[in-house]
Amino acid sequence: MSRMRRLTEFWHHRDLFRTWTQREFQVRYKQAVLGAAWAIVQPLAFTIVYSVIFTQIIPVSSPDVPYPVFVYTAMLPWTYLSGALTFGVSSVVSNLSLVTKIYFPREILPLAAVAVSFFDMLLGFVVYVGLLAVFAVPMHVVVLWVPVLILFQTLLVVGLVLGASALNVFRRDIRFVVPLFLQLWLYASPVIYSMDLPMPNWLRWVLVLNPMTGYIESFRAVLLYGRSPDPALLLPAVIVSLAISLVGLSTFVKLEPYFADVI
Amino acid sequence: MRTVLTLRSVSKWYALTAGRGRVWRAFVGKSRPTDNGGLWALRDLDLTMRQGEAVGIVGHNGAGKTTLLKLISRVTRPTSGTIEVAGRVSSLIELGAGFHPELTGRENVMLNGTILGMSRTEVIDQYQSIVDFAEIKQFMDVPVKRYSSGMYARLGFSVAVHTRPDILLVDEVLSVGDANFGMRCIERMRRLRESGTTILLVSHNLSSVQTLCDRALWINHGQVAASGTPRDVISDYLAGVRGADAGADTDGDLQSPGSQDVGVVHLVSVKLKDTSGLAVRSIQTGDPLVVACTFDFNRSVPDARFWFYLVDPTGNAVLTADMRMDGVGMSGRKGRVHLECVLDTVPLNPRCYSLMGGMFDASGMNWVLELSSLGVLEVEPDHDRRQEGDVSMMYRAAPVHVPHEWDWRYITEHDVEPLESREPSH
Repeated sequence: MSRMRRLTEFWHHRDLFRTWTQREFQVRYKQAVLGAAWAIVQPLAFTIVYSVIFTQIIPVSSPDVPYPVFVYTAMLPWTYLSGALTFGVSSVVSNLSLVTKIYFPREILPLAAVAVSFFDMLLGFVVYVGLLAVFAVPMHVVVLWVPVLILFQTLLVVGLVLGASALNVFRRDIRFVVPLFLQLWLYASPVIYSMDLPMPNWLRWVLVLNPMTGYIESFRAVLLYGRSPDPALLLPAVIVSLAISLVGLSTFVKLEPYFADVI
Repeated sequence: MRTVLTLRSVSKWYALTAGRGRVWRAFVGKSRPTDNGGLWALRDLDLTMRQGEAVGIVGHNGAGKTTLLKLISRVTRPTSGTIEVAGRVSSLIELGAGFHPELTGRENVMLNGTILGMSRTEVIDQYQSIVDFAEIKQFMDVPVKRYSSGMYARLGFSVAVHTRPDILLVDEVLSVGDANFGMRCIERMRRLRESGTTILLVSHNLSSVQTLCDRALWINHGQVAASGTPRDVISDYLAGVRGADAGADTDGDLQSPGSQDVGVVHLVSVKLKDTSGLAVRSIQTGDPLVVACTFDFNRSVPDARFWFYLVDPTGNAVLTADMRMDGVGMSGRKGRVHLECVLDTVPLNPRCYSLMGGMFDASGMNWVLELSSLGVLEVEPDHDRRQEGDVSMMYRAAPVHVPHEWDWRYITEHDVEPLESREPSH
């Protein structure tokens, strides 16, 4: 199927994308007492735990800002990625009854998972603004970078979720790999620590090639320090994100015709 | 009429074993059929359908009928060949397949409608009509997990037919729900066809194929075994089924589990005749009918009991003749037996009925001839009623017609009993 045809088809089904996202959101929180508040509880809980550990037990320096704000800022892009990947990886497989019976652009399933996590992140931002007020962290005009950062990070997230959800149809191992992978990735990203800390050169390189480093550090720069993102960190992140999104998309496009046969 | 669907030598290969390297082959675009561990679900199938045409597909389980619908609806891709579709395809492969149990009927209508390709505004416009057709107005705000299977199916069907499809694919869905709903489904499909929708119907219920379709296709082992008018194709199909049974009997391996005696008796032929002995395919309401069968008994079956029944297009049995109920048995020796059952009258309203039948041994529990389709009987309006009555009404009415008379008169004052006499007296 040509790219153009795929795009027009997706456009034709845009209402399905909206309805499906809505459905995912509703279903995820429907029978939960806290409902959509869970979107906020998770990053908040991690923030509290990390704050206790890394201020009371093993002090980690968080330059110029209170440690809880420092961690929570990283939690926003991080939970976007981990939430989208956790729910998105099985998005095709868990709807197999649909995939084997009705045609619609299959990319809607993983993309809706991304969209729900996106809205979760927006809810997280609401809390964040409150947090900034409590800790009296000033806002700067560079916060206008935030939508740009989210856009580039979305490329990364979409690529990963598309690729993982397609591979998971063929090999269900992917579903088990994802949580492990995320756990390792969390420690390989400057969520609980800062890139300003002294570290060996090889490790710095690894961290720079990790696209989440660029986004987390850029989020902190624009939200906490009133600085523009550091191009040396953001540029590699954008390039890696673009590459991953292309690989993920083409994986999905290649494997998608066989979904109904393999499931 | 313009062509809306063209299939050119379409084949579909299914790999049955989870072969290694499938991801890799998908990547390099070489998902080629291998000799071991797979099957051709369809082989070199050609099909052209024009706007407003209704085509029925008959065939065994696993003959490739559902695969064909899945290919047309693009759920799966052909291994080779091309499929061209003009317009919106809506499939009733499984009613309510897109429903989510936790969501309410209302939310699911929106969800299912958009899955089937409608826009949100289209769904909102059609909403009232969808609910009216499904007849579950009071349950629209209840999660569908609390629905009965009939309600589920009704809502599913209703959404699917409201998408105004150019091509409607229907797979064995008329048997769900009650008879009344089945009848309305058929009505609805007929109206869709009149307004230009092309319908492809897969059904085991041969009477619904004959009722709805202009043309039929018999698919056997993934290939077209016959095509033409529903009547011809159905009789070819039934003859083919009998032929295949005969062939399998000699191999002795066409036995369904739990019933070792299936295949002891082989059905050679079935004829529907009038009382003068002439073969008929259609009769009029109330006419007598003779069902004449010839069987080969491969070994003797003491007290064999044959039974048959007529099924209306919605899948309901409406008339039964059963040797077990009648206390009659055939002491079938090895050899050929001719059996006739004379029905004094077939009190059925006009439409197509399929004839199903089978044979039990003396215990009345073990099949010696497995239940199968025997043929299709078309009942037409009888002469008198055709002259006076509303024929289209007869096709929609409940199936059984018992001759009756109407009597009415004016009640004059003289006829009315005095009020006093109605009061209870002691």
